[in-house]
Amino acid sequence: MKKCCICDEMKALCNEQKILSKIVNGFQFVQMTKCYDTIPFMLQSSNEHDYFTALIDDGTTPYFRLEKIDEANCCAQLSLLKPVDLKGRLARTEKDLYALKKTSHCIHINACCFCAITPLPINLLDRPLPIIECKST
Amino acid sequence: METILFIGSSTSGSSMDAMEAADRLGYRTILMTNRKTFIRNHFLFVHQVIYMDTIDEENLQKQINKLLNTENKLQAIISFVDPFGSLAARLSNEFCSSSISSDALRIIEDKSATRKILRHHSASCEFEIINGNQLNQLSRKYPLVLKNPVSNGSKDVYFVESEEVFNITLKKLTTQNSVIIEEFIDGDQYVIEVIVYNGIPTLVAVIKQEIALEYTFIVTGYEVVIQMDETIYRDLRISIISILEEIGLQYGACHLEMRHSSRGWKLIEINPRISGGAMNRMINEAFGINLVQETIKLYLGEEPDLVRKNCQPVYTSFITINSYGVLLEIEGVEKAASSSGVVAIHVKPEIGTIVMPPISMAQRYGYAMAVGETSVEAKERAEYAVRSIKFYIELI
Repeated sequence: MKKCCICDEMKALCNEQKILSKIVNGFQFVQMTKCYDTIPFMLQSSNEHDYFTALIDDGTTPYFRLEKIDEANCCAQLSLLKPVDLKGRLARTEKDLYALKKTSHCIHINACCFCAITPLPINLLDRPLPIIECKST
Repeated sequence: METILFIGSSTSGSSMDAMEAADRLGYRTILMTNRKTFIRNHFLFVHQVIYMDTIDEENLQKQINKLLNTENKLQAIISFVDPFGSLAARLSNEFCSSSISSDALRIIEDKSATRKILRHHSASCEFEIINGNQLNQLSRKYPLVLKNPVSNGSKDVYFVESEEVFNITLKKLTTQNSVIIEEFIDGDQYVIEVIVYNGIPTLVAVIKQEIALEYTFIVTGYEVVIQMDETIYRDLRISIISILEEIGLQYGACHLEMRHSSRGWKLIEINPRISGGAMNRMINEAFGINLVQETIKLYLGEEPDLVRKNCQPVYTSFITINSYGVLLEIEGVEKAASSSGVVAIHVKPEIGTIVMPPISMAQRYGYAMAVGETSVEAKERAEYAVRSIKFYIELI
C-alpha cells in the first residue's frame, strides 16, 4: 500500500467533506440557508512554489474539489472548480478570486506527487455575485 | 504669521474649500477638530491640526490663548460646519475684532428659536414645539414634518403621513430636548446662499433642489438657477431680506431652504453657513464666485466681492443606492470624469465599507457635477456621468 502525507490529508478532507454535506440535515433549530458539500483546495508539488493548475475554459484553475480517493493507491479524482471574479468572469489571478463554481470536468492525480494542500473557505462555493448599483431613480 | 483658525471641518466640500481659499489668500491655516482622521491623514491646505476631544467654548478659549502666545497672529476664527458657526463668530469677535452677528447666527443655529422669532412672518409655516412628554392630543393634519431642533443634513427630519407613523417617529425623537412639528409645505424647494455685509443681504446663488421624499428628505440633485421669473425672484428677495432683518443678521453668511408654495415663499429652514458638500464648487463654476473665500473676507473685515464673473448653468447629481451591503468595487469613475461637460466627480465610500439606502444626506455616496449651455443640458450631462459610476455590493 502506497503511503504519503498528502494522501492522509486528502482522506481526512474527504471525511470532513462528507460530514459537511450531512450537516444541513442534522439540526432541528439551526436554520441553514445553504448546503455546503465542498471543501475547495489547492495543491503544490514538491519542487515548485506555484500551485498545480488544470486547463479550464480559456484559462487555468488551481482550485479543486475532491470527488473520491482510492485509499489503496492514493489515486484521487478531482473536479475542477472554476474561479470567477466579482463580475462573474474567469478569475485569472488569486487577487481576482471572488467565488468558485463547480464544473463536471475531472482529472485523476496521484496524491503522493504533491507536497502541500491548501484548503479554502467553503463559502467561496457558489457565492452569489455582488449586485451592481448605480444612482437609484 | 497671519493665521486663520478653523473650528471643525469635513474632509471634503465647502469647509475644506475654505481652508484651501485661506491658504491661497496667504494665511496660515489651523484646524481645531474632534475628528481623528485629520491626525491620521495629511491634508494639503491644513497647516496645523489641533485635536480636541471636546470642542466647547472653554476648551477653545484655552487653546486660542495658547496660540496667541506663539508666532501666530490670529486674524479670524471661523467655522463652516455645524454646530460651531455662532461660537466661532463669537470668538472671532472677541479675539480678532471681527464684527460678525454672532447672536443672530446663534438664533439661526437653533431651529426652535428661529421658528419662534419668525412666528408672525409671512414665510413662516404652522408649527408646534413640544417636549416629548408634553404631547397634547390635538388632532393633526397630515402629512406633517417632525424635526429635531438641532438636526442638520436632513438627519432627524421626518415626513409623517399618519398618526401611527407620527407616534413611532416621536418616540425616536423624544430623546432630544424638544421636537418641532411643522406643517408640510408642498412646492419646489430651493436653497439660497446669502452673505450679509453692513446689513445688506446679497443673494449670491439660488439653487433648485431635487428631493427624494419617502420617510426622510434626501436631496439628490442641485440645479443652479440662472434665470428665475422676475416676480417670483422679487418676492423671494423681499422675503429673505425681512427674515434676516427680524433675526438681526448684519454681518454673516447663511443659507436658507425655502419652498415656493401656492401660498408664496415658505421658510423650511435656515443655517448659519454655506451649504456643505459641492455647493461652493457649484457656485464657483456657475458664477465665478468663491463663496467660502468671500466669507473669509467678511470675517477679516473686508468687503466680500460678490460680483458674478460668469453665468453658466450647473447641475450636480448625487448618488444614492437601494441596497444594504458591503462595497466591493467602484467602477466607471474615470468614464464619468471624462464625460462631456463634467467638472467634478466625487465618490465618498471606501472599498470594504457598508453602504445602505439613505436615511440622511450622509448616505449619499458621491456626485457628478456638470456644466452646459442650458440647465437641461447640464442636468443631462450630470445624470449621464453619475449613472456611469457603478457600485458592486455584496448584500448582507
